[in-house]
Amino acid sequence: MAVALSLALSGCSGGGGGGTAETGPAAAEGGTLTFANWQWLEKGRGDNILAAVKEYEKVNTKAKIEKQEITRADYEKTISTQIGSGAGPDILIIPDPFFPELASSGALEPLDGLLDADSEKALRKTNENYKFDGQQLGLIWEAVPYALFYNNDIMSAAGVKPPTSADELATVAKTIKDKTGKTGFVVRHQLNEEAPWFTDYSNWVYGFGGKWSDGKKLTLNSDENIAAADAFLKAYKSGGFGVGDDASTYRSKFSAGEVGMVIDNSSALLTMVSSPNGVKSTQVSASPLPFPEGGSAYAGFSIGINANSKNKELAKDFIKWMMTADAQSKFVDALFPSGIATGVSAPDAKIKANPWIDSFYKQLENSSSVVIPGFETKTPQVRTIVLTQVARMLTTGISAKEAMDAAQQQASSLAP
Amino acid sequence: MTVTTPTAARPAPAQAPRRKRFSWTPYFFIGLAVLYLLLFAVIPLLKGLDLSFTNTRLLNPTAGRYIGVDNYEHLLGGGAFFKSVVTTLVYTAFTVVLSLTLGTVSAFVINRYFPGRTLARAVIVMPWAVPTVAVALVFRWIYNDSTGIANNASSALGLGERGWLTDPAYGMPSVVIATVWKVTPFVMLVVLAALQSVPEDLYEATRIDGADSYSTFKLVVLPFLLPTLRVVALLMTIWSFRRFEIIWLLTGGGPVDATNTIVIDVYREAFNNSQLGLAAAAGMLGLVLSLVVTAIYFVVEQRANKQNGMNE
Repeated sequence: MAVALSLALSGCSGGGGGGTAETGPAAAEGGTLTFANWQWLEKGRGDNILAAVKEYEKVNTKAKIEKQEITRADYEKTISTQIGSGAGPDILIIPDPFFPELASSGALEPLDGLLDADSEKALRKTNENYKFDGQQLGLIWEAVPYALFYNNDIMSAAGVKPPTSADELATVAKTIKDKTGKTGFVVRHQLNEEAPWFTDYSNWVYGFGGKWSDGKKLTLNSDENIAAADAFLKAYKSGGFGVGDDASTYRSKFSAGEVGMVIDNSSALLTMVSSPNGVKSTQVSASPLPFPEGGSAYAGFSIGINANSKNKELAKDFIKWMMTADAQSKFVDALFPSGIATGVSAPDAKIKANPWIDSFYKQLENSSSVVIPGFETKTPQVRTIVLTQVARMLTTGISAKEAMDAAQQQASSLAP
Repeated sequence: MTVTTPTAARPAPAQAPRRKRFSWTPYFFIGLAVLYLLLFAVIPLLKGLDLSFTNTRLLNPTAGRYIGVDNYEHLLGGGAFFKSVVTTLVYTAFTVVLSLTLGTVSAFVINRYFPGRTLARAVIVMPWAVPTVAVALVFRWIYNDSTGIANNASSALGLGERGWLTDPAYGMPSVVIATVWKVTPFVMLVVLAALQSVPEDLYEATRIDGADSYSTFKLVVLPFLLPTLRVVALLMTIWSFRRFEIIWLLTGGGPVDATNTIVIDVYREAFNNSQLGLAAAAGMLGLVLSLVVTAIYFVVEQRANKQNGMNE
């Protein structure tokens, strides 16, 4: 009803997809760019990213950049509603699973030819993911790797070593709980965090050599995917798992020294060790994911221009500047510990201060996007089906095979 | 001598009927109400109905095409929507029955004089004043598996720990408890107002007649309360059909769809899957459900009025 009301009152003048909005004045004339990103809200890191972005104002003195803060949980919904009603920010950061939806709706301005050949070559290979129907609709912003990380003091107190297999992960989690009373291991596991949980859960699937599809049909119940689900179930049922803790809760607990091990991304860990009274970066170590095939997911993000923008030329000029070597040297510092667009190395001082980052960088080399090949625009529906079945498996006693078979069966009606 | 014959009293000449002066004032006031309803109820409703026959997507709301009754077929052809309807009915039934019972009992208790009654009233009303988002956040902490007081209490009672928000068997009870805690004070306030409207001399008359408490309640208090209870039950039912924030914030429709009501379905289709057309169709079916309940209420109300001789 609210949706209908907003549409009715806006005279149904949605411009999303039309891309008919004017290009706007030339970049040299300046103007104000609104830049939507949930990362503005990340303590410390958000300010650093904004400072890097604001450097553009020195290059183009007539330009002004205004941040638009949206929480991560509400990001896709808010952006969709804004763009759907013909408005929205000029520039936006796009989580990978959201990209096909925006691209197929015509909500993004094409960026073909924006960068010269050398600049394009300098970008990470994952930049190819941001082409849709032959058009470059986004450019890589960052790729955030995952790893297993742990509190050294808790591991020592429990007398355990970092796990190197899924079975060990469950055993170590239980031992930590038994010997220290603290949560042994935790990772996202609830449907009210569906979008980020899918990225987290994909680590298990890719780590066991599984895939979501072969490009033509879904492979949700392949042997590898079932093995991954079974490993997840064992960890959940280990007796040391932080059942019921959402990400913000277990991250706060890890920061307070109440959690032994977590599988999460490098940005999240940096935020966890940035609390003045919490666990310090030097008290944390990381290791590759304890899964047999070594694969993992990364949280990929691109930068794009809203097709409704009235400042397209200025927005393009900003992105062009952002990809220069000089700007990238600032972004690699601000976006630490992510892998940024051009693969520039992070400053040595930061790497030394956060020794755990090496494991994340190693894992990034063998990581894949969570957008489902051949089912790009159907990823949200597949995600819901898979995770609902995983949640059933965790809470109702059905087996991993039954859960994945049910997911495959439910998703069978989705065409590529 | 002159004789005067008495003259019969002549009727006064009939006056021409006075013409009523026309006034725009009532039309102005009615017009405002009609305009409000048109803008905020009728037009959005019609727009929603129109949307429900299209394949409109959230990101591109002007590019939707009419697809007939495909959305309705999709919803009514699969089991998921019926499960949502059942979940909605279960949630509504428990919420309405429990809040009405507790609210009415609270009203009776608070209606009697006892020391500290004013303070007790203020405390009981407090949950109604607390923002729903805050209620949901507090209950999330209460229900937390590892640190929540719900598990501390159940363990202390020897019942073991439960996955209040993570186990499908406990998801619905957890949400119902939080909702009832929040809405019961409203019922209590309305019932208390109805109780206080019972004339004191009626109580006195029943006392003089030697009626016991039960007879007094049945023959004097209940007839006064029933119309109020019916209206409150209707409001609570419709509000429960529509309730979103407390369910979404506590469980997001989980665990494993245990609390996935129609409203949660509408939200998921619109904002998770970007399917505005399908969401509008689900919303329309939800509206039909509300209308059925409202129709039942009016039938019951009419019968009650007939029994009381109000329609004679």
